[in-house]
Amino acid sequence: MSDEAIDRELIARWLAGDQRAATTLVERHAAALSRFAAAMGGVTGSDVDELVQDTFVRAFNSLESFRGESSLRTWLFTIERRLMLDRRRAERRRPEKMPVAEGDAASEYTALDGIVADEMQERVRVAVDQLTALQREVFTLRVTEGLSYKEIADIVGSTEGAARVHYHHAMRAVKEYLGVPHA
Amino acid sequence: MRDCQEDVKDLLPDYVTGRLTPSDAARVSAHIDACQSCAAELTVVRAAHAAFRSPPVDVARIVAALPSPPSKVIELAPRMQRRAFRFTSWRIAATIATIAVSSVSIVALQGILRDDKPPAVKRVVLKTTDAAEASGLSVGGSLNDLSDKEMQTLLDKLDELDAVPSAEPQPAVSGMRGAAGVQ
Repeated sequence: MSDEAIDRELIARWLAGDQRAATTLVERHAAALSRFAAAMGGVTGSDVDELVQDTFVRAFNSLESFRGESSLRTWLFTIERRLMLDRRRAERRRPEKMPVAEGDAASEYTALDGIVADEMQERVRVAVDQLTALQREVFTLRVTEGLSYKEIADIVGSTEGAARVHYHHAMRAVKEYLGVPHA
Repeated sequence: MRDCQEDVKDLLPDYVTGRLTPSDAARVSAHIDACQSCAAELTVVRAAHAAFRSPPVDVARIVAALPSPPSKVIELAPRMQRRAFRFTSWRIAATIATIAVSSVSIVALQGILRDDKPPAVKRVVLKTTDAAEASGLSVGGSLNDLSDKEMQTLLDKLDELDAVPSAEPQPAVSGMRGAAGVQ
């Protein structure tokens, strides 16, 4: 059974009143949503947790109207991305920026997880941070989640061709930052 | 595999995330062994894939925040309908009772009004105050006994007194400052 079929079955079970199906759905997708939020930058620690929770709450509130035209994961990413954009806009509207807690997303995660990232990964993170927001979204969804260009296009509201172009531009920029020759 | 620029590099994220079929994975692997450029890009993709790990999320907390499955609402619906029916019945009963009481009250009031004599004053005796007497206004007996001339005199005298409050006309000249009695 494919991932999408499993999701559809879990959704049907939840709609029929099985609360355990909700737990399974959250377990299946929470990590990807959390990873995407952290990769986008500007969201740290408990903010990631809250963002992921808000994403699921919104999704479950309209799960009855979910038609399955895209995969559940794509739909969840779309909701999460909108929430992130809303938060960024709200941040920009604030007259004074709140002081940022010590440590960025990467270092906080490393501290929490007890893992010391190697130099290459650290440099990749910095390189990805240099990308435009759209390039960062496309690059992250393609490389960390393995989504297709079609799925990415659905999430960011673009076309498959445009998503492909954004990915290649992002990859070129990352390689340049890392000093990796690209032919 | 036509050209590594177009095909293999596009497949590298799928290769890293394990989304390729075994045969496609074998072909990519064989190409990488022979292509330095694609091997270098694979290193970047692998590093990027590993760089963004998901910060921990509290699944239990997320599930606790989710709405209940809609089927529970459906299950409760008949009970809610019964409650709504009881409430509607109570309202209908209250409305009927109110109409009944109002009707009885109106009938009773009409009966009282029929029994009551019109509040016309047949015999009004003006008991003037000392001040009124001093001004020469002194009336005894019924107003009906007064001739037109006497009535005009009385009205002239009244005009000389303080202004009468502009209230609804009373059956007698009770608005006058002098004490008025109705017999």
